[in-house]
Amino acid sequence: MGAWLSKASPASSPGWSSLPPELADLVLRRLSSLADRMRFASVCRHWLHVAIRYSSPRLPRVLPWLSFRDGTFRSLPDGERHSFRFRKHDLCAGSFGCWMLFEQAGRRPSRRHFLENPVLGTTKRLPGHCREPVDLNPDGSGNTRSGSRSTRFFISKVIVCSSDLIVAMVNYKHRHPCVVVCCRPGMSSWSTGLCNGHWYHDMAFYKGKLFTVTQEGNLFVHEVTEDSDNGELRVSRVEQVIQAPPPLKYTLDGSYATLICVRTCYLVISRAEKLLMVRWIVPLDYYSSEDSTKQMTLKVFEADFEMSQWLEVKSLDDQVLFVSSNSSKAISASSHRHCDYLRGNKIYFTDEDGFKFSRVWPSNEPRTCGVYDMSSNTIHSISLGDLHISDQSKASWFFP
Amino acid sequence: MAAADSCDGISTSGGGWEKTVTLVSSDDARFEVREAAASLSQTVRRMIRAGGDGGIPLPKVDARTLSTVLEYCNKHAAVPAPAPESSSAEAAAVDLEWFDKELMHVDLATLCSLIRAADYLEVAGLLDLTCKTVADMIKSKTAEEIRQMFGIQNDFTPEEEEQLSRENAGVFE
Repeated sequence: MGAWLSKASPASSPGWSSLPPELADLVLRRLSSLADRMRFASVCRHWLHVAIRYSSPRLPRVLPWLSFRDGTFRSLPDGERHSFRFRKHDLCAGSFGCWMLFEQAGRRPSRRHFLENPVLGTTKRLPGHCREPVDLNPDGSGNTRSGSRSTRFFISKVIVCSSDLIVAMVNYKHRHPCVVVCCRPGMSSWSTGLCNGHWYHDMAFYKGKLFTVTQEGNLFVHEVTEDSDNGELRVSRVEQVIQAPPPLKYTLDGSYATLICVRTCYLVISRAEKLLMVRWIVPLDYYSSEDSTKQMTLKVFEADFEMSQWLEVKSLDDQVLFVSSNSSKAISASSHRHCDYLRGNKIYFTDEDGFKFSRVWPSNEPRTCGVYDMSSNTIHSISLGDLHISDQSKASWFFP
Repeated sequence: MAAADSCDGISTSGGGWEKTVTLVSSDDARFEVREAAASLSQTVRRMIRAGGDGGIPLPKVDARTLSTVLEYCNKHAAVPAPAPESSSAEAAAVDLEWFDKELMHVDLATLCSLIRAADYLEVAGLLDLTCKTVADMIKSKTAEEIRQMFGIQNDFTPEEEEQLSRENAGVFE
């Protein structure tokens, strides 16, 4: 066959800039990092066209970034650093999905909070006021009339559900349970929160409804309705839809029921559009314990709304879950099989408090983030190219 | 490699006869190939089914590119040797991986022809391999480095470049 090489005519091959869109697309979809895709699009007009017109609706989602408190990011899989220029004096209060929440200290309430999508450069102003919450009676009834407005509140999580609806979990007072409030972009005040005394750990917008979960695994639905009088949005009803089994029944907590543990719950929407709960229990005396019943445990459950129960999910199959209390997402590992980085049935987590999971590392060497393998029940550190984030930097997932 | 006018058979190392087909490149070079290997190309497989004499014409692939494609097909369609000492499927996979890596040590013009040929001939594995190779070369490179590497002209106006760099600010330098 070697004889044919002498007849070679490389000049006859049409160049790279005219690679048919469907072939350029095959290259583009093998790039898992947003920065690589954006550089691809900056090469020439033809490649830009492929990136924004031809491929973009069908491309696999880019891998998430780690978002640090100082406003910088590191992207998977290579650890490339991303740093956006923000206005001075703007305080980053965390990243949520593709949004960063900023607080402008000392500004008038109406200009105090805003969301910015650093990649697209778009912003959304958030209300500077929040109505005082209303305490609900145990049966769910209560005076749901609007309370007085206050500027003293703290946003622990925010979700942009649609162009018309933004929801948030807010705290009014230190060591008080948070409530769910909502607004339309541009409104001057968040709606009145309904306080039922439960401590929510996470919130998710799923199939047009708003859900919260407590650390025990109780799931609540929050109904958002439009006020017939003034057209404002408000949370009109809170109802528990799935109950975490009582600890002593050994279903969720098992032998952990009587231990003092750190419990964390995350809500994630699966690739198959199911509502998942990732529940992590780490006994406080995990350090010293040789007792296998005192090992940490991580379980995944799927909401069964018909039977009002959590069903344990033994395997995530092709899915990889990225969980942090600010934002969580499920990504298909096979859609990134080309970059040889993600494997299915794993959960990527971050240590948002800087201490919560520090004790789960085998060497007791706290890490910012890690990956839990569902099939072997083991934890490994995340490799970000040559970069090792081994300090206790607090981080959460950002989905550009 | 001997040219043949129609589907024939060649003797295999095991002493049996294996069916072969003749492929004809755009520059009229003829390749006699085992049918099992040629059938890794869905395009060829369909043409074999359709039948016909005088070899299968592949007017979009030149001899040089076709010979590399067939190198890939011959290797990947090789019947696994039944010898017990090499029976490990893992070893075979490692061997294939090495072969693929070696095969991709080509200049960029050849790589470009290979992608187009793999697409036209519908050799899924080779298309995946070539596209992955290109993607790996692009990773972490600046747009200018990519242009130089692939010989692509920067056809943006200064205004468009300015806008692109504004949009990219922060994501990369």
